[in-house]
Order: sequence, then C-alpha cells, then structure tokens
Amino acid sequence: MFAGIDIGSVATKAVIINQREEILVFSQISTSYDREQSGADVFKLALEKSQKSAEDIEYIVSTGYGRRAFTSSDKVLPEIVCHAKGTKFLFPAVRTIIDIGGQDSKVMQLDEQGMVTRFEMNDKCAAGTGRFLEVLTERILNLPIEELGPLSLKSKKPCTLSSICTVFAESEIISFLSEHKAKEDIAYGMSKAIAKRVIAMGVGGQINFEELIVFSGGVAKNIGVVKAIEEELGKKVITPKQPQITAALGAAIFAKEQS
Amino acid sequence: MAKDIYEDFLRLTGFEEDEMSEYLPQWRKASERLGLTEDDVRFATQERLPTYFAIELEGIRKLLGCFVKETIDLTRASEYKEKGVKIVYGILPAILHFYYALKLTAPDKVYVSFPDIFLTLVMNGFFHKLSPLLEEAERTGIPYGCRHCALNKTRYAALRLGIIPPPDISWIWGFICDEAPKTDEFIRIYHDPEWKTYITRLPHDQPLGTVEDEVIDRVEYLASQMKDGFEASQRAIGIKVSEEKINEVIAIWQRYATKLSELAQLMATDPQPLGVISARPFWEPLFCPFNTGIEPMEKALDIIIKEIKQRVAKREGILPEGAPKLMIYSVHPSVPWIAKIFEDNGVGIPFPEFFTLTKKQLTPSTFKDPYMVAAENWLRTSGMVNPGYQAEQICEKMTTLKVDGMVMGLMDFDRWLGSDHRLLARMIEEKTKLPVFYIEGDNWDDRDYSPEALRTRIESICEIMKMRKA
Repeated sequence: MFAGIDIGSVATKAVIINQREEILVFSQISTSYDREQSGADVFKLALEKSQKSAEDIEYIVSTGYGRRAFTSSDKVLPEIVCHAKGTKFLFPAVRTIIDIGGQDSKVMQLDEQGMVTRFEMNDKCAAGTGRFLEVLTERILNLPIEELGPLSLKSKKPCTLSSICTVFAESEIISFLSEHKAKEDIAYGMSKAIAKRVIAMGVGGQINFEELIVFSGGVAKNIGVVKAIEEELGKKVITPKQPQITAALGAAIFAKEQS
Repeated sequence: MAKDIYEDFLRLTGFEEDEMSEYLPQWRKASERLGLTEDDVRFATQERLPTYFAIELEGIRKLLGCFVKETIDLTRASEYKEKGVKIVYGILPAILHFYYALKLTAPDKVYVSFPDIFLTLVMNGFFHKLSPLLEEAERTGIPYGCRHCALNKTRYAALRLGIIPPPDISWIWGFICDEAPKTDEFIRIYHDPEWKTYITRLPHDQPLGTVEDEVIDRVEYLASQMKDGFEASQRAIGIKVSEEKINEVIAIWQRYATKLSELAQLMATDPQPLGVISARPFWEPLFCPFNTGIEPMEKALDIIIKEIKQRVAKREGILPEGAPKLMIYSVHPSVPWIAKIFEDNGVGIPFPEFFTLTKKQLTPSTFKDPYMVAAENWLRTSGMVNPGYQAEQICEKMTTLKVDGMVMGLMDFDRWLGSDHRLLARMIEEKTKLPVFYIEGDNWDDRDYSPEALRTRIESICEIMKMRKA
C-alpha cells in the first residue's frame, strides 16, 4: 500500500491506495502550527480508518506547503504535479485545473497525457484564496464560512468588489453594509471577485482554460464560487466529490510509481 | 590569538599571503564603511560564499577577490574625490566602452562605477545585507513597493550614508526603463542639488521583428546619442578621450566576450560542470564598469576556463548526466538561493540568456567608427531590442546551447520587463516548442516574496522538466 500526505496551510490530508490504485481511505484534519505533527496525525488517522499499520505502507510521498516538515516521507514533491496526477486519475479528460486552497490559488494546464504544460500560482498575495473568503465572511459578514455558498446563490444583484486586495475588499464590504446592501449580494460579489482574480491569473500565464475544467481545493466546496467561475469563463466546471483529495491522491499514486 | 575572520575572508576570496599586509587593513576599513560587522564577514566566510560559490576552484576564489578589491576601491571613492579624481557613475543597462575608455585614458584622474548594481551584488550576494540600504532609501523618500527598483534605492542610500561621494557626472541610460533618470531627479530635488546627470535614451519604436542592428538610421541615431553623451561627460570632468582609446576598449571587450562565450559553451556540456551562481559574476564587468579594470577578472576567467575544461574532460558535474537544462533570462548572485533550488532539484540553469551571445554578437562589426561599432553591438543584444527580434535571438541561443526549456521573469519590479516577459514566453514557446516558464520575483531584492511559494513554483518546474525528459 502507498500513502500520499498533503500538508496544506489550512488542512492536512492523507490518502492510502493499494496496488490496484484503489482509494482505501481519505482522511483530513486541520493543520496545526506543527506541520510534522499534522502529517503524523493525519497519517495515523488514515491508518486507523483503514485498519492498517505503518508497516503495511511501502512508500510515502508528502506534498503541500508543509511537505518538507513531514520527515517520515520517502519522497517530497511539490503540489502542482501531485494535483495534476490526482486530478487526471479522477478525471482522465481533464485539461485545466483550478485549485483554490487556504493560502494560495493555482491554475494548471495539462496536455492529453496529463503532463503540466503551464501553471500559475499566487506568490505573495492572499487575494483569490480561501483566506480571502474566510476573513471577509467570518469577520465582516458574521457568517460561518459554510453558509457563504448557499447564501450567494440567492443573489439577484451582486455587488461589485473593485479591489482584489483582501484588506481593501474589507473596506468595500463595510461600505456595502453601510449602504444596506443584501448579504447575499455581497456574498456573491465576493465569489465573483475570487473568480475574476483566479481567471486573470491563469490568463496572465497564457492558460486558455481548455475543457475539461476541474475545480479543486477547499474553496471548491463553495457553490457560489463554482457558479461565479462558470459564469466568468462561460464554461462548465466540475468539482470532485471530495475537492481536497487531489494532491494527496496524486502523491499516493506517485508513491506507488516510485516504490 | 583569536582567529581573524577578516583575514580568513580574504584568503577565501583568493588573496595571496603577500597581499595580506596591504589589503587586510583596507578590507577592515571598507567593511566598516559598508556597515558590515565581524559577524557579517564571518557569515560570508563560513556560510554564504561556501554555500553558493564553488570556492574549491581557484578561478572562483580569484573572481571573488576581484569583487573584494573593487569593493575596497568603491569605499575609497570619497578619498579619491577629495584628491581631485573625477567621479563618473552610470546605471545598467548601458554601453560600458566609454567608461572603460575614460579609465584607460586617465587612470589616476577618473573613477568609474555603477555603484548601485555593484553594491547590490556584493552586499546581498556575499553578505545578504542589502536591506539596511534599501530601508534607508525607504525611510527617506523612496517608499517600499514603489517602482524605483532596489538598484536605484541602493544608489540613493549609498550616497545618503556616505558610502559613495556625489559624482562629477552621472551618465545614465534609459534604455529599458526610465526609473534611473527619475531617481536621479529625485536625488537632485530632495537630497543633493549638485548631483549632475546626463541622460541618453533610445526610443523603442521599431516594428516587431525588425533586425535593429541592420537599420542603418537607427545605428547612426544611437551612435550620435552615445557620442553626445560621451562628449557631455568628457566636458563635465575635463578629460578628453581619443577614438583610439575607445577602439582599444572594444578590442579588450571583444576578447573578454569571446572567453565568456567559451565559458558559456563549457557550462552547456553534460554534465553541467559548474553552478550558475559561481560563473555569473564573470559577466559583471560587461554590465558594470570595474574601476580596478577588466584585466584581473580576465586572469580569473583564464584560470576557471582551464579548471572547467579539466572537469569536462573527467565528466565531473554538479548534476548527473542527462539532467534537464533550462536557460534563464537572468539570474543574479544577489538572490543566489533561486538558482540553488533549481540545482538542488536536479535541474541545471547553466547560464543566463541575457549574458550569452549569439553568433552575430561574436562577429566583428562592419563599421570602423567606434560609436557605430558600439551602437551596432548594442542593437545586436537581445534584451535591448523589440520583442520579435529578441525572441529570435533567444531561440537561437536555446538551440545552440541545447537547453530543454527557458525561464523568464524575476523582473516584476520593472515596468517594461515585468510585462514583456510573459509575452516573450509565449513567442519563444511557439517557436521552439520547448516549455517556457515564468517566475514572479525580484532579481535584486528578496524581501518582497515568499521563499516558500517560490520554492513550490521552482520545484514544480523541476519536476515537470524531469518528467518531460524522462
């Protein structure tokens, strides 16, 4: 058996697969300040859920921002290639991946073989990431993050956030609230802002969003953002049933290939 | 007796025992003037230089020594000025023949330097301590995040902190950005009304794909602009340079460039025999004039070529044979860890594109007039011309040097290059069918981006390249 551990900024994920590349278990926990411990904890959880022991695992690949902190892995790989591997496995026809996680967003273009031909990611700004939604939703709208997506679908006249900066967007939302704009319109305005940001990032990197487009990462759970991306692109976007699985799954498949 | 770290530093950077008595006190004084502490010198000696430079090679130690001697010299520029030596500055990218010709004409009467780029390389590349200079500039008028790049901030701060004296003339160029002239304006208005500047510009008005060095009007125009600038500089310092001296410099330049080209060819061999950060400073005297001259660097270059030939003969490399190779637009020792991430992840970036030469660049000029020769050379340089011609030249280099792809970027601070590079990436990719990647970042200043995000990006590029090659 083979394991992939994805230690992200917000969530740490583990996937265990068998020799036939069947997913035996997917586990997820919140990432703590101790990235190595997070990796160890999620691995332990995955082993418990699958009723296996560490000795049953032939090879481990770690990925994500905390990938090097997890010293029990046999190999460390960056998440771009793991996302591509995992998504291609789930959706063989995929040509574009949009992944929006807690602290970064990425757009990847794949060729027919699933090889990454171009990719873009935000390097130094929280705009267009899960953090953007988290800060604005919980602090300003006083809503649990899970409610943002369903609420935004009720919007009839979405607000336009002119700034993509999290800090400036916060001021804009405060102005909207002062103007008694509906929360759902603000919520969808936020979704549109994040969609515009991530699409612009991809276009800037000469990515043409060829279909099949798969949207993964924690933010893909937000149906408002999914809708906003589809609207902005004018194309259908697919989300995995477990949007946060892809990098860990890709890492697990790499583990099998490496062993 | 306590270990003398200053002495160790000089030994590490290729100084001979018989040079110590002369240079050790000078180096201590220079360090003090630059704000470098004993700990900074220790860090350079024990960590920074051994990590990023192939100090086991004599050629590299001698190369570093040339930079140390130039650093010492730079910190003495104020003394020179007090003794009546004329101070001439510039900022890259510029045509250096004229600065070297001034020096060749009146070696004891003129001091030439591009202090900003030189200090940036030494302070960050050797000591990782450029920040105090940048912060000084940011505290006193050039704000953080503005479009004045780290080089301009460094020039201004070095003046404010008394590291360099005001020049008798700052002959600057706005060839691919206009930040330098604007910074000089800023310095003149807010800090030193006596700061004297002469600006040479070249409009970028050629249709896409024009082979600019073959447009005679353009070569003549640039030659006349350079002549005007050089005459203004000569008038400002009262030194007259003959055309023979410029020709002499052109000959030295051509000889040095040919040797550099040989080094680039050696770097292209498989396995890659030397890391790019070690080799990169050899290109510096073509883009930043050395007041101490190009000759000591040439001696170091001769040594390294010999040493690298030995490595090539033994098939010794920093990477395994067959490792993917990427050409990078520019990589600078001021942020050396970027190149190292590539190499640590099994991908070579043997040479910066900007500093490798096309066949045409190595061909002698058809002109006799030295200004026309210099102008023609300039318009043969890939980074100085329209993107169509630039892309053609980059593609030629990629083919000649047999690389597997290209990396653009690390120039986000620059209004022109920051946007131009993405377009170039597309053009080159279409022509060569090889992957061209883009990296956000700043070639001079590593304060402004997340190393972790950059690591992820570079490691991803490396994995993609390894998969493609496999």
